[in-house]
Amino acid sequence: MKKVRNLLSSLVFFVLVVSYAFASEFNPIVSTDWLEKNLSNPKLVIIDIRKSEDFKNGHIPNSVNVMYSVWAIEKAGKKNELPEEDDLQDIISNAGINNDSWVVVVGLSENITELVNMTRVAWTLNYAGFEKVSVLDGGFTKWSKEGRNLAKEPKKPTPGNFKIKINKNIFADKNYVKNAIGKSHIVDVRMPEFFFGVSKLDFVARAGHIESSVNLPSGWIFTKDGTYKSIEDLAEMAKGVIGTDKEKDTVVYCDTGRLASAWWFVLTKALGYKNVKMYDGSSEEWAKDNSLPMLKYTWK
Amino acid sequence: MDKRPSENIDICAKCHKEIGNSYKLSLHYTPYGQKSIFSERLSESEKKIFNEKVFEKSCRSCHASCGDCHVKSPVVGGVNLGLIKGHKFVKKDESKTCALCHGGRVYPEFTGEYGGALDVHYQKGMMCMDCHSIKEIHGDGKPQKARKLLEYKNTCTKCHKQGDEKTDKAKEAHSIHSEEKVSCFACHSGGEYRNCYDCHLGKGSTSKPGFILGRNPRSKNQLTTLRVIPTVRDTFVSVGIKMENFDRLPNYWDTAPHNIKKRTDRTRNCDSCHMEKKYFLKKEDIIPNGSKANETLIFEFKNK
Repeated sequence: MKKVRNLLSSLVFFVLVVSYAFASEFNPIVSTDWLEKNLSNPKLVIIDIRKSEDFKNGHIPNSVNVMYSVWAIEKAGKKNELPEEDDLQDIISNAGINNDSWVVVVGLSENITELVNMTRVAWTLNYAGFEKVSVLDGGFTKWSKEGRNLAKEPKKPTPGNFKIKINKNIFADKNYVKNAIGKSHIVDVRMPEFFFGVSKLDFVARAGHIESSVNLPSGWIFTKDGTYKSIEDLAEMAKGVIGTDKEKDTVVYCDTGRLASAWWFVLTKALGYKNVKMYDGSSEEWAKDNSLPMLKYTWK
Repeated sequence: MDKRPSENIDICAKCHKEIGNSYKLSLHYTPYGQKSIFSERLSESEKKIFNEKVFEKSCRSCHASCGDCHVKSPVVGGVNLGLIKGHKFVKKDESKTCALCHGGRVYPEFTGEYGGALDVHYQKGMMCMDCHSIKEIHGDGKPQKARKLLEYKNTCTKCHKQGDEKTDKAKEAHSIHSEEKVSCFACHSGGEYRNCYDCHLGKGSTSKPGFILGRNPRSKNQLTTLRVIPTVRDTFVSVGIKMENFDRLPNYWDTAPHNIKKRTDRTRNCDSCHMEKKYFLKKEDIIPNGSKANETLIFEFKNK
């Protein structure tokens, strides 16, 4: 009898701890510890964005595989574009996302591209009107290095009930950016040599940055081990470059709309900036239009 | 020490007798597909030269031994990726066993790495062997002549039966465009795929992405996706082959791009084909100095 009582007490304690952990305030950047404690919560939808081959070799238990290239496609010659709305609805439903879900995006974290793949997916979900999205700090790479449990059998989710409601407030197109010059904060998140026009990627037609933009590289967000720097450090970086007016319109951009998603995510979700948009076309689109100036070798 | 012990299939066939005997006759081993259909371009005397100077010396070097798929990655284009999984035999790992040889077009199209959309089957976690049968890989005990001639080659309708569609719109679309008239790929191929041009023996070819719709050379009443093949009139001229019957075959073949999507611009909008005639092969686009058979693939669209 005593054993049963002890077992029941332990069970109640476990349920309380788990409930408390899950019920705790939404955190946009969740740790591997937190995720492990919340693995069995039915409201949690863990989306693994790695390649299918890697997923099959081992994944976080209960995660579903929706590869990055499903969320960000090549369209009309541009990289990292949004899927069509009907496709996006299918993707989200098939991932098992419900109105009351909490999504955690999991990818690799060996390099900056892998890290910002997670935030680009988070941005896409927010664009679809689903806001309760976190990213796993350090991603699958950290989970795996820590020797945590891995599953090999893929989970087949029940289709979710979330219906997309496109949120254009976080999306900027070329015309929006043209009109924002000199009025909004325009933030170039590429490394300084790209901002100054010393380097450019092959597919970007011209080097340099958009007039009146400031430089706040996404590479600064992460530590060498692929985790996020402290909120205090991130807040200081943002304060130093765009100040503390959290209401001011802000547009982040990069080369294709992937790297910029990291600062969109940190500013919006972690630091509380309210009016941040990402210019999805970014330099890839902007630099093709010769009527639009691109500035080199200047802070202006 | 023999660097490729399984080059001699009999070594593996000591234990895997049935597979070994079958494999010896398969396209992966022989690779007869590289000459069986193409040979129609050649006169009888040219066939002999081709066999001796091209097929045996060039094409045959590309065949796969057992170990190329199950032990060590084959050397492709000078790139040697070494052992697949240390010194262990690997039964199946399509991302390596299939992807390394079929990494020029099929696999990158499938995974979306060639640009455009990844294949919906890959998106759902499927891999090569979820669609292709072991007979296609290991043979069926009879000499395989060409991939397109295999009666058990994979088709979409083996899984996706007409009439089982989930929506009325899809039912109607499939009923109007029956497979005899329009191939599945013509509507569901997600975007551009690799086309190779201007191949010359010893020098290779060039490639660029493209998407072409036209009549299926093997079934002229069917509209399908066409892929440019790189053989041109003077491809083998350096070994004295002029291809006397070059014009018997076109420079475009029906193709199954591995970039299938549920929805494409063609499934979304009838005008894409019926008004804009987007992607249709046109006379002015046909490759210069190509086969006279090319023009027979132009689909004269009748608007209703």
